[in-house]
Amino acid sequence: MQKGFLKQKKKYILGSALKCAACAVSCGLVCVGAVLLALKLSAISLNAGYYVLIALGGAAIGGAISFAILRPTDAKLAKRLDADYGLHERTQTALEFTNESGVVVEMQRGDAEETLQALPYRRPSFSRMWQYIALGVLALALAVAAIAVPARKEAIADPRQEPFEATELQIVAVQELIDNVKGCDLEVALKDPAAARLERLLAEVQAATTVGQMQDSVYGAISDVMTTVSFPNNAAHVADAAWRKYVSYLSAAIVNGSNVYRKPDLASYSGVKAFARENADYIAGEVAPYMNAFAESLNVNIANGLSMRLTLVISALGDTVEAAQLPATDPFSVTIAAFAAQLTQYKGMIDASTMDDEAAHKNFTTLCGLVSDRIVEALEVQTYRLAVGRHVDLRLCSVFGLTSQYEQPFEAIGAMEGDSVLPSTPDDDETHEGGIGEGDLKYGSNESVYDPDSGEYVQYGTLLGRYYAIVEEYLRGGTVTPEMEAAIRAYLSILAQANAQ
Amino acid sequence: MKKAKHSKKTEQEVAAELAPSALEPETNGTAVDAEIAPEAEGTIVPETAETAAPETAEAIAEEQPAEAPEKVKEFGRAIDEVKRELAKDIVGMDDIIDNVLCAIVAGGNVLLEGVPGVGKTRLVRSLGRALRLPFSRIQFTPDLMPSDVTGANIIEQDEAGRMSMVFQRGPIFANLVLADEINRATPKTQSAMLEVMQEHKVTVSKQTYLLEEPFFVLATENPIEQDGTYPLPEAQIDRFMFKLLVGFPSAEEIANIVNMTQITMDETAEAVLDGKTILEMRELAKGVPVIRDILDFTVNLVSNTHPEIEKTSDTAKKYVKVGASPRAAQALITCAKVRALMHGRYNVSYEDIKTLAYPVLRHRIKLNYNAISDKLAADDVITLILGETK
Repeated sequence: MQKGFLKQKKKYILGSALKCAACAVSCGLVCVGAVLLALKLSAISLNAGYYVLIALGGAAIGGAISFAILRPTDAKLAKRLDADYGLHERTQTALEFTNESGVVVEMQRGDAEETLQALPYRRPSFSRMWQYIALGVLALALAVAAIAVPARKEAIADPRQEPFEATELQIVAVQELIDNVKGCDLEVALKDPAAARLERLLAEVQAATTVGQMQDSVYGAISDVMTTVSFPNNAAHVADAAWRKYVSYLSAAIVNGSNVYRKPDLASYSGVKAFARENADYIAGEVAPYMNAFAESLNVNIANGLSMRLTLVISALGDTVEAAQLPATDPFSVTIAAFAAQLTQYKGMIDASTMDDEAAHKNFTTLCGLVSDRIVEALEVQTYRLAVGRHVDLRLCSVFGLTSQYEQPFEAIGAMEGDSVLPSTPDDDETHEGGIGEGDLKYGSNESVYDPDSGEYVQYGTLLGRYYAIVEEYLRGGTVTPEMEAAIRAYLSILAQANAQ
Repeated sequence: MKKAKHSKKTEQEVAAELAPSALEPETNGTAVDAEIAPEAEGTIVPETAETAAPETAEAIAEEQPAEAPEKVKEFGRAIDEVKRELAKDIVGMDDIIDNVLCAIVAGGNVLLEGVPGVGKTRLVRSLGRALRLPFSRIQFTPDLMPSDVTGANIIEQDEAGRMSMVFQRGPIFANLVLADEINRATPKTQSAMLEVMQEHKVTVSKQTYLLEEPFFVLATENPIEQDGTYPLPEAQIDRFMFKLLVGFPSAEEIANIVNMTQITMDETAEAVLDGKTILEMRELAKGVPVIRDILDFTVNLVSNTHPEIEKTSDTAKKYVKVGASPRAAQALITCAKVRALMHGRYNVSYEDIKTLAYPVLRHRIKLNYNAISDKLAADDVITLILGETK
């Protein structure tokens, strides 16, 4: 029975080997696919070499198990042969009775051998091979799906730790910004450091590996550039000093004239250029009303204490320059000093009775107009610096997807918003605010006013009398210069006269 | 010749059961249709007949050892020759003839169920001619006595006037016996008949007479006339190796029968085998190997006919009242071996068992009311059980 059986056995062994191989490959693919999918969903990555080992291990296990199951034992082969070829259990009988003796038994063995020998050699029967192929296809599909599934990104607790790499577009945008800064109309002493800082920024962002590093670099550069370009600016400081010294119209003019740079088109360099062209007109439009109002506030008749008023204004202007600690060459310092000097001259002429009310008022209007122009000139330079700084801020935030932190870079301590300084309803009898001695005397002595000390409404005359007493006591303290004492007493007398009226 | 190790035990058993045909003259029965051999005086066989049997069995087993393989090879050819001779007298009934020959070689008896006139008697007669074996026919009637079957002692007077007791053999003393309408005889007569079938010997007045081998009984039952009949009890019916169902012949077969019998009503089959050859074939068949899986399948098949067994088939639980006895398993294996040789194979296959399951089991399982209500016959239930057997 041996030869014929062995001949057929080889065929079935080949079929079983192929099935074992298919199982091994499928098992390897399933292992790799399952592990890869699990790790991807867990946001864990492994070196590719490990997957190779997993595949080999899975294939080995799958192959071993399938071999144990599909292993073609002689008994299985005999059964398979009898079934496949319709041998009526010839092979199984011959195999089972191999060592038996007997006439019929021996004849049966011979008959089985002859039959097996005579069997045509067909290619290995791959019964149910399609099942193994289907298994392999499914395993391959699992592996492919595992590869295709995107890895779940680990929720980074700190967004700043997310990886960052500067793109080509970002690098080009920063370089373009550097070129624009270098070509703008800023003073060389400002734009060179600004450009240098931006170049350093460029190197920093190219070297940055995390979002946090990028953010720090960009915000740092913006801060440095803003500090650089706005360092010489002193408009806020001057406005604040003017406000504290009760030169409110001047303060308001400077404040409002400085805010015009807050325009959204500064995000583009063309917007900066447009701003530069139209800046002066914008500033003038903001400054002029306040200086006109200032001129109006000086329209006090000579008989009504114009001289005293001029004294107070001139003193306040001088105090403003001193309080702002402006150098003598500073445009604001020069303008305010000139403004004060001219008013002094006018006061001299009024005291000398060489200038009447009409001439004085006309001269005040002209003078305020000139001061307005000088303020516009000074603010034009300073606002352009802020505009360039603002442009750098907006552009860098846009390029790197950040939020600008300079929404209100201009702050004037004690600065008032525009219209609150301007009189709402001009009245012939009104005396415009502008400082000491320019109070609104529309209240009569019987009018009730709020007393902040007692928290009650009292008669104006009563409150005024108390203030007189306080001032009188202060003046007796001897801490005030004779000139200031004279001015105070003159002011109080004007109040008294008005109250008496 | 090498003895088959498997059959060594059974050889001795067979040897003990074989009649000493060499010492016995050919005999026939006293019933109607006595055939071939003339009446012969009954020969008293001593109780030690077994001493002769082994010689015969061994002689058969060891005779011409070099020719045994040839005899195995010619097994199927010999059967085919018998079938060819029978075809001269019998039209159709191919399956019946196959099974009958299988039973004869296997040493069993057959219960035939069929309407009258289908050729049952003719079949046995033709078989007797083809196998050169004495044939007898016993028509069972309700008044038939056991002695009518087995024979009895009668007083005989010789010419000198001396009286002596002589045993007059009954019709059972033949090799091939047709027991027609066995279910019409009384249980007592049936019992006597079946005992003979089982023991292959007759005991009368403390004298035992061995029947000549091969001894084969073909019993019939008329499925139509059941009034006044005595159905065989289960224990008795189990002794039949096969139950065969003879269907009504087709129109073509009837035409052939008419044409054949217009020429002559006599049987024309010629002898092609003899009893000795049948016994040799029986001995050879015992050596046919059966693999363990088929043996287990056979055992499972028989077990699956028993509803009381826990792990039995669902079919048995639903439709069977009484399952088959272990004789069924014996019959299956024995006949499967013969069938294998008849088909030119030297081993038993599943096909042999599955084919023989029907004639072996259909009379051994008793169906319950569920089967009757579902209009299932025994063959249908056997088919279902085969499907559930692994």
